[in-house]
Amino acid sequence: MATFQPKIEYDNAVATYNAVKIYGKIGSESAVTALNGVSLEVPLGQFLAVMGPSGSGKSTLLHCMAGLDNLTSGNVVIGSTNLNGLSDRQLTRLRRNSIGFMFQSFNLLPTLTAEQNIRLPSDLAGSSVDEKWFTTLIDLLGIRDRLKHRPSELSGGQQQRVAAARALLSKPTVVFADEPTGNLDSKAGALLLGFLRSSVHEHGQTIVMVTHDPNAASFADKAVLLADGQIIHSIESPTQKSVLEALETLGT
Amino acid sequence: MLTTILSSIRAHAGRLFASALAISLGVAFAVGTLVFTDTLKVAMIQSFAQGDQGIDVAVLPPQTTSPNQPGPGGGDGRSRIIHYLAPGILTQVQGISGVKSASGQLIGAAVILDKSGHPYGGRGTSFGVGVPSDPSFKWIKVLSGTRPTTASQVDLDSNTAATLNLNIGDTISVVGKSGLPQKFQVVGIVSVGLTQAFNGSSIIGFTPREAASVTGQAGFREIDVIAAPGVNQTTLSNRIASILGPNAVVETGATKTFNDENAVIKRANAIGNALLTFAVIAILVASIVIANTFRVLVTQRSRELALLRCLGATRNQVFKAIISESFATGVVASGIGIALGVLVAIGLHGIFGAFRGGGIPSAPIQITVRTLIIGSLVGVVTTVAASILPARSATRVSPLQALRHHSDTSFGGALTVKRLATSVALIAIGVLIIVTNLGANASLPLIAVGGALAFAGLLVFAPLVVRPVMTVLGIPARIFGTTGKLATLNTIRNPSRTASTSAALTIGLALISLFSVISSSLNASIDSTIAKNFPFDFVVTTALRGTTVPSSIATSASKTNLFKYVNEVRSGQAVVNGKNQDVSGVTPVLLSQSQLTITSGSLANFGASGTAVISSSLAHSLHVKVGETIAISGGLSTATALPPPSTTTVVAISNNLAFLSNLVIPVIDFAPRFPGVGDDELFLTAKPSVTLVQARAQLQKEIDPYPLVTSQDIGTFESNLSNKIGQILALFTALLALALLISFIGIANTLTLSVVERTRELGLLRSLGLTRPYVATMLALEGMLLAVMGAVLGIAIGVAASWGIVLVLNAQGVTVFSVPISLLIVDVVVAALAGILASLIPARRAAKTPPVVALATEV
Ligand SMILES: Nc1ncnc2c1ncn2[C@@H]1O[C@H](COP(=O)(O)OP(=O)(O)OP(=O)(O)O)[C@@H](O)[C@H]1O
Ligand SMILES: [Mg+2]
Repeated sequence: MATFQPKIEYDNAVATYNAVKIYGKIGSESAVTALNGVSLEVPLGQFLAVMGPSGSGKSTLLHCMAGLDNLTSGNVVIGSTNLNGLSDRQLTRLRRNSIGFMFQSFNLLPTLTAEQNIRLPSDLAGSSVDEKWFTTLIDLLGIRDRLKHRPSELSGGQQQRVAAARALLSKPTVVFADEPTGNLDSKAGALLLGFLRSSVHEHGQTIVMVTHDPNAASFADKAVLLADGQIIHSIESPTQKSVLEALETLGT
Repeated sequence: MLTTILSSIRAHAGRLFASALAISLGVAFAVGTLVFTDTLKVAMIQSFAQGDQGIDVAVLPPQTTSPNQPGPGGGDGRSRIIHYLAPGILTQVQGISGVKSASGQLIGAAVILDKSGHPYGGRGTSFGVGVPSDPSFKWIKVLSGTRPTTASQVDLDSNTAATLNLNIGDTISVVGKSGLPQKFQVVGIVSVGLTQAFNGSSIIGFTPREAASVTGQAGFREIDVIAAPGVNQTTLSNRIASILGPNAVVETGATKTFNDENAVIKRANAIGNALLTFAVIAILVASIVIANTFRVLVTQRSRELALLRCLGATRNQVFKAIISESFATGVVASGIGIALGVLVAIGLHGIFGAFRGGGIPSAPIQITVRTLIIGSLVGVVTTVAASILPARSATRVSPLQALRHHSDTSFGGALTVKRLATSVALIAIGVLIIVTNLGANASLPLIAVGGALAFAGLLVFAPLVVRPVMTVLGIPARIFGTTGKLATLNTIRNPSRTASTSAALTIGLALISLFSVISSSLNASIDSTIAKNFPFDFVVTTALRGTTVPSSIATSASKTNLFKYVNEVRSGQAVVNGKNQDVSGVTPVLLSQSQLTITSGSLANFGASGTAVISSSLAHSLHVKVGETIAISGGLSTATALPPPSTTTVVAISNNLAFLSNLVIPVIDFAPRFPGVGDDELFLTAKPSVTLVQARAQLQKEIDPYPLVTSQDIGTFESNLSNKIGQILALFTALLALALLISFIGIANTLTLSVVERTRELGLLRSLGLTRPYVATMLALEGMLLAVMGAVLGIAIGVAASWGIVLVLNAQGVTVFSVPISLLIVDVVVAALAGILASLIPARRAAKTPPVVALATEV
């Protein structure tokens, strides 16, 4: 069984300290404080769900954690690397080697086949693929017979599973997923979430997933609730019920 | 990475096709020009080679190294060629030891009359030559029949014989210097080296003696010498040179062949360079289309690019991906372009043949390695260069854009200080370069650079005018209701894309309208010059270059007592203060009749022997003022003894001598210096007591015996001059046609890309009830608006630029600024129609979009 092996000793796959993100000119009327001092540590091998009402800053937090966007102040550390002050080139290298992505939609390049899409990051990096892991992934995800198809020939669930295979192929330090099941029905969603959970529990992958759906959150090890750019609640081993209750106390 | 690039090229092959076509056409023009020029060179060299074949020594008139000017008067049409070898020199050469035989090339003006009695071949395309009796002189080769041996026999060149359907044994009428037709019998069909290379002239070969008598040309253009056995070319050439002294230039056969080839290459290159200018314009337009396509593609694919960046693609990789795509496009486009180029070469051959009135020499199509290399380099380099900016903007796509659900197309077109400053700076620099280079020694390439810079400046500014211009242009589109309104809004939604799409067309139309306005101003200026300066009723001219209106016509017309004025204008070339100079000889009253602007002196003093009026430019270059003298010598060099130098006093200086030469002397001084030279033009005014009909009839009677001489009312004369300018305008437009075609491909391309981009939107419109015909109409209106905007901006730029040029040319006699409004309106209408045509394919695609699929498509 292939197990996740950290390259350098660290406990957290990703962590933020006092993360503040303000859109627009600070102090001006149009300024929006999307993150207002978020500190969050995601230990290696954790499946974390980020929840909260619309506009609470979930996506912003994810983007900043993944180095896609800059914090106004505060720190993000991925593995042992602090993202502050990294150049575009260094960030790109970090994305190649340490981060996997899954989005709600438009995950795949329409011109490439499923297999080409899965291999794309290692193609870009010019690195070799762990073929055994590749086989394991496509079998676990049940997309072996879909490899030669283009995204337009795949169902939404299949597309998301291809995206999952791609995100996990390089065994990144952390996989960020923004509403990966947002466009799927509950059955396809459950299939994908089940796979994600098993990759965490059986292979030691770390996943940070943004979701609206209490049911999706119940697959995670921990859920944090954001409101107005701040973490206001955190639930260990969330269930659909406990998450719903927490959300209700928020008054949404 | 390679798989990604390749798959994306495959997927976008359709979208790239149109822009590849644009580059292909540009390359085709360049390649066509090179192939055409090379072929022309080979054809001309072959023709010269025939003339130089077997010649050991060539004796040429002084001041010319090789007889590479076209036939009599075939140069600029105005100056008479005065360089001939006196007949005595041939006898002298024949007597030199070591000369086996020598023969003179006698070439003068003569023309065949066709069956209805009209001179064949039009102006300047017919020569009478002396056929040497000795076949070792190969510049004339008999293809069938024999050489003329008696005065009544002639040979014809094969082209003329074939065109006029003449055979050996037929009788033909020929008009030469006397202006009167003479009958001859065709005894042979010949091919002519050298001269056949020029404009497909028709050649009538006489016995040398008869040639001299028909054409009135006693001197030789060249004397060919064959050496006696064992005599070395160089030795003989030196010997002849030392004997003839300054009366001739002597070259060995080898030198002459070499010089001839160089001259031919120079001539062909000159034509080639002019054509290449148009090829460069076409390529420039194509590069705008390419740049535009790649910009749109990058915008459309920004989510894909962002996704790639998320997955770890570096900026460099994104840049390389776009560049490789353009490289591949460039390679394919060049290949197609080179193949098309051969077709273009054939087309150019046709256009030039038609324009020059007699076909041009042909040879097997010449495709050299150089042409292939240049063709592919031009295509690939242009394509890659044009995609650099779009590729750079692709690298600026942030990974975050992959996560946004709507990748907004950039709107652009905001009025920023930077944009305004860049635009103004570019225009200022461009105009400055043009203005500083306009003077006497104008440098065309630099002016072009200036023009390109100023145009780039306008392009930077163009997005700002899109909204106002389209709002105005959109008003008539409103008759189509909502469809029209949507079409207008679609053109405004991305001003920089609209601006750069129509920019391609703007270039072409700016050039066309520039040329239209200038030629129209030229016409108007000529009209006003003629109306002001030559207030006469009739103009008598001759139809064959190298011949003149016999002076007897002027004499007998005067005697009829029907004409108040019979004014003669003659021209020749003499030597003034040591330099060659065109001279006009005129009847003094002609000048006093005309309203020349006299800058100093007075016309009242002109008319007596030894007086002259000169142009201010000649006065400037000779450093003479009114009252000072100039020395005129030379004249027709056929006479063995040249007239002695005469001292002439400048009595007036004018800055608008119109189509007279820079030096004008009275006919009484001109005639003895140019014996036998008739009038270029006769300007006649009927007496007040005589009706125009009466005068016209009488004049017709006077010229009737002379088939080459024609009389026109002054109005017809003017319009004939305008026709000539119209012909040049037509050639210019034909050469720009490819650039225009490319810009319409650009419009079609942008529309197609925007249809792809708007698939969802179109689907929505369709599901909201917009029927297919309405979708097609909407696209047609968009195409039309794009084209009209390009045309209108181009015309605005062209008119503005030509106004500047006319101002500068004022001193050269372009005094009237005339805008051919109806012609420009036609241009706009044609552009509008072409814009609609360009929308057909994208419109079909848009109309085919089913509402449901359109909504489901993820673009
Ligand atoms: N690029 C931006 N410029 C300005 N404000 C932004 C930008 N992106 C997000 N915001 C603002 O920041 C706040 C947080 O947005 P964010 O997208 O993180 O919310 P979210 O929790 O992901 O919402 P949802 O559940 O709807 O996706 C919102 O008020 C949003 O309007
Ligand atoms: Mg969000």
